[in-house]
Amino acid sequence: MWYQIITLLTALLLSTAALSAGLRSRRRMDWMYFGATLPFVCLAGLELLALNGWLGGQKFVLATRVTYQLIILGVTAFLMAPFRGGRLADRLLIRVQALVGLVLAAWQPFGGLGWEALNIAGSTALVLMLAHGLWRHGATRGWTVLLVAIAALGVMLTDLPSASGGAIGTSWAQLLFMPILFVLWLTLSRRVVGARRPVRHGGLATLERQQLAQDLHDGVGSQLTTIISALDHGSPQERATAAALQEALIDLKLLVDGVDEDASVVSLMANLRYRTRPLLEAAGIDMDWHMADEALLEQVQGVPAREILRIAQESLANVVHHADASEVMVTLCHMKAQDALWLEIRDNGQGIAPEGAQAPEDMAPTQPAGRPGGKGLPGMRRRARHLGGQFDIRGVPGEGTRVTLQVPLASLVAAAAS
Amino acid sequence: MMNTSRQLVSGSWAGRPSSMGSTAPQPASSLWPHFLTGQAEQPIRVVLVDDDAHMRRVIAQELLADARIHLVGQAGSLREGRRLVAQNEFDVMLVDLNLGDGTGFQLIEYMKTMHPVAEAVVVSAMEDEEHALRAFELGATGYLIKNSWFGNFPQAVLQVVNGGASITPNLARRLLKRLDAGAARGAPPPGLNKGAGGEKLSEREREILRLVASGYTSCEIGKRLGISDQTVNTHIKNMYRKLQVRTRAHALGAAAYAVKAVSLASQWGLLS
Repeated sequence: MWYQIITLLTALLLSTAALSAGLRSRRRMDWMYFGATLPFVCLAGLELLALNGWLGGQKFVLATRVTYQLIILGVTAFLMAPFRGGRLADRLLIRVQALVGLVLAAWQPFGGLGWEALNIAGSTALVLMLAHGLWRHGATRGWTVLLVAIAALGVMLTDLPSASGGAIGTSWAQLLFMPILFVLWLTLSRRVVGARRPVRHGGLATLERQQLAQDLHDGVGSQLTTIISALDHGSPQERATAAALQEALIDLKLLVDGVDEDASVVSLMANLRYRTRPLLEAAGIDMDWHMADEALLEQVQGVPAREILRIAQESLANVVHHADASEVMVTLCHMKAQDALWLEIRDNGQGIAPEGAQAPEDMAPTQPAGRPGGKGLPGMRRRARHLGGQFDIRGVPGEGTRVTLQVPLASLVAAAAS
Repeated sequence: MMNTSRQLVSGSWAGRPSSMGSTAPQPASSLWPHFLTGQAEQPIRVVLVDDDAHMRRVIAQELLADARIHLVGQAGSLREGRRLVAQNEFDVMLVDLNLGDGTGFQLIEYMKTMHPVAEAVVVSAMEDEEHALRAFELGATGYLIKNSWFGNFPQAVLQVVNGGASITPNLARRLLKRLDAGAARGAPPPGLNKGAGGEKLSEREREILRLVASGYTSCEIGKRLGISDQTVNTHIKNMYRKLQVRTRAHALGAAAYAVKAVSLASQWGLLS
């Protein structure tokens, strides 16, 4: 009796927590957790009713089975939520199991081994499919879910045979499983600090940064998009505004691209090319793109990759705004002899003035006659120095400007790994 | 703003085929080769489903201005979209993924059962590779980002239909990973052994994806491989089909597996 009351109270407490969290945050994950805890309340409640003699016989057996089937469905759906419900096959299996399970539970109230076998087979298959999927490309979060899924399978495997064809009741295993599910919920919904990665460089944790970038992209990005589409394409003034906003949007997207710690310099540069294409086309500048030795350069990731992206991005922006060029050539490759990464951006514009090119890091950008230095030069030099590379910018009046960066690959890869 | 959106909702069904096409202006039609679909005499029939009334207006305006396209109708929700799909003949469905009362995925699935030959092209404000892949798995053959203000939207739609359009480097990366993972898995799910060979990437396809992932455009890739840029895009479109075939095969395999498990289970039940 006490035991059932404890189970009921625990389940009630957890599902109330889930409900209030769901009402506040309106997040899917919280609702899924609520769906997983609620049937536990029903099961404990049913058993209490039976103990007091208010419910019994065939009806009771049927009710517990249907409730247990709902527990299985709720827990499975919650566990699959981080994978957005899983692949088509997973989703199908969950539905088939729930539907056929409900039918079998109602159909054969006594001696329903078929019902038990179905659930054991279905859930085992799902855990195996989950493990198989994770084996190929799994994140840490996914493995955590798998651990809980195995525990859930264990609970079911003890619950079902112990019922031996009769009613299914609460069990110690269930009581212990509830806190496990609770902890998983806290972890998945990022309510506990332990779910975050350790803070590095005094900055935000990776997960938080990714979240922030995603929010920026979805929020500010979609607003920019709406404004751009609302502007009148016919008016030259509004077209200029739209172009400026479009550039801001591209900047934002490149920022979001760079947040992915695993993104290599190859993918970041490819994105840069893809994203700046409409900008260059609108400015009437042809791009000559050369990317080689991708397999080697894929190793350059993290901060160094982002620094290289920024240098290239700034150079391209200068070409668009200041160079008055009709062609730009971008090269990213590996220099065999020096074992270094080589980045080169060359245009055929008016050529940067020598004073502009010499702007030191700590000096405000000057605006000499001819092509101005561009606002980003000191920043580019600083980034190159951080990378431990050689940066050079040179202009020939009337012929063009050439920006080059050479960084030893070993230092880039070491920096990316640390 | 409020005004225009109300107007749109009330007048969301466009006119008959004959009234369009012949009277509309014909921008850029001289640049459009005669052998491609979407000629002024026989415009390509398009339905547009998007819950954002403003976006729908912007897109519809562009489509209406192009003689190669005949806008058959518009809808602003999943429910309206289902009706539109059920009651009309069309070649292309442009669909947003967010439909208020449902998702574009649901509508793509529905459309593919009603009009298997028609093409579904996702029009999304957000670039999301996971969503794109899922749409392709359900049978979509294009994914256009609607914020590209510089681009010509009707042109992009026609390109998707006539062979296919270029994709983002990120998407190429994901596609390479996913389809190669499928090939590495090799054996199809139990109960389904046919058609496994057709799902694998060919060497040419893999090379194209690798080049896209390195930032090269379809045009540049075509030059490198000695094929036209349209052929490059057709290869990409074929890869979407492989993705769909593969997904369907896995779903069927899982279903067969489930049926077997259930029959086995009920056998045990009968025996006991």
